Amino acid sequence: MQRSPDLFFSKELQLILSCLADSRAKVQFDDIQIDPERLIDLIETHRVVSFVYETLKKSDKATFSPSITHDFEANKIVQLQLSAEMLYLKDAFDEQHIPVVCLKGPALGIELYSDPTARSSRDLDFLIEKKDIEKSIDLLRSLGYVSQIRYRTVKQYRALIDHFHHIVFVHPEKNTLLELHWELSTVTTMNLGASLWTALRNIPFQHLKLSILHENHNLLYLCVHGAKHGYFRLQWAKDIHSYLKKYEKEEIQLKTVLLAKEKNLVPVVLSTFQLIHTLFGQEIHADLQVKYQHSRKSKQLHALFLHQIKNNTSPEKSFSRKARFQRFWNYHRLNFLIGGFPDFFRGLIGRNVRPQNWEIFVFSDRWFFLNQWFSRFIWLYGMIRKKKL
Amino acid sequence: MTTYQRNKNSVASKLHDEIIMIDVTLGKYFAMNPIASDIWELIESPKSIEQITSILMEKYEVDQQTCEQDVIQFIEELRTLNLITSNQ
Repeated sequence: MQRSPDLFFSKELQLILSCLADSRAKVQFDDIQIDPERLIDLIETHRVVSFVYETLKKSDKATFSPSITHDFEANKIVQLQLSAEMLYLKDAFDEQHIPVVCLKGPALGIELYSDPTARSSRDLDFLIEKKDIEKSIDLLRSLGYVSQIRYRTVKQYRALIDHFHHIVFVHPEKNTLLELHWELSTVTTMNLGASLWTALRNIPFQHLKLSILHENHNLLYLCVHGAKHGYFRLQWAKDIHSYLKKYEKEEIQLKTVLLAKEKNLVPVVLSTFQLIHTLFGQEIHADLQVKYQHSRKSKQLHALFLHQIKNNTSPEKSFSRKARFQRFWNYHRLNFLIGGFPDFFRGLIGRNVRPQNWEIFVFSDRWFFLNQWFSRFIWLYGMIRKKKL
Repeated sequence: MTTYQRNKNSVASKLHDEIIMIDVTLGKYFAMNPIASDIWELIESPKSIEQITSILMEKYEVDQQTCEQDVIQFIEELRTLNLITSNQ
């Protein structure tokens, strides 16, 4: 597998990639060719300020923009606050005897970089068992968290857990976001079943032990999560690169592909590994290189990931009609490539299940299917009502 | 001999030469200068005033009396803020 010599990445993106490839290395760059504003935009978009700052700090030409230092400091404070909140919430869930798994966020920072503030997260992700959904929602509400989504009937509850995999909660005073997951992903085959809960690992953090996924489960989850989003943030690729390096001796590449085979997700993992190779030069196991070369779907996914990374360069343009259509198109294409027709149709139907609408108007459980048919009209009615108010 | 140790209810991280810290229950932030950061790192495991003083004197050029007084004052501040625990 050859690393692509010319990816047509901008100078700024190439600089970021060099920083991410090995944050201990000194990066040689000609700062005349770098547009500082574009560089900062990209660093923010890809959420990689800590890694870029740490590398640029060691560079010979340490004349990089003070904005990067400022962003680094601001990120540190945000991550510290999230870490503290993670500790506080984990304590609260433990007191209520609700098993909870910490996904991504500061917990992944501890696992991969021995520092909960090393990554850039905007929220916390907690995974619970389906049976604990109501108990967890009650607990979060008692702690001051609120959610825009409320279910009041059996059908509403079923629609929520069938079409979504998490609810977003906000703490208005602490300004903290929490995603409460009951599934790892909307990808149908990603369900790890009971093995997820029996194979958990614990990592110490202050006086608590945080539960995290088994390394093979976690890597598969990170691959699926990144792929679902088309790796439009480089931080996700960086995490996987760090994961492959950390667990190299445990033969994590082969073990994760074996697990992916059980879940019908081999192209997702192969295309991700190829992406990590293309971006960071990570060595991929010879057998997997052969498998990748023979997998059309993996190649299509890899091309789509590169396209997303290359084009996610101007946040100010991301609300244009073209960008929105591109996002819509890529979303459904990714759904199809990752989960086939079941996920493609699930994605299409899911767009019409809008729990936010239930606060505006909702058909009773007897006529519940009409909520889906009329979802666009109900949404429009809500918008008009909001404008009038 | 009284020893002092960090309260586990806080999360800290290094920012440049300083340590920034947040108390989980109070939600308050604290920033520590480099010497205070050194003391904070030392009391990850239980340490007495004498132990802290002697370690700091190896690193900084300071007389024992001044060093000990500063350490006592800082430890007292941490105790008031409930950021450390003491054991006799």
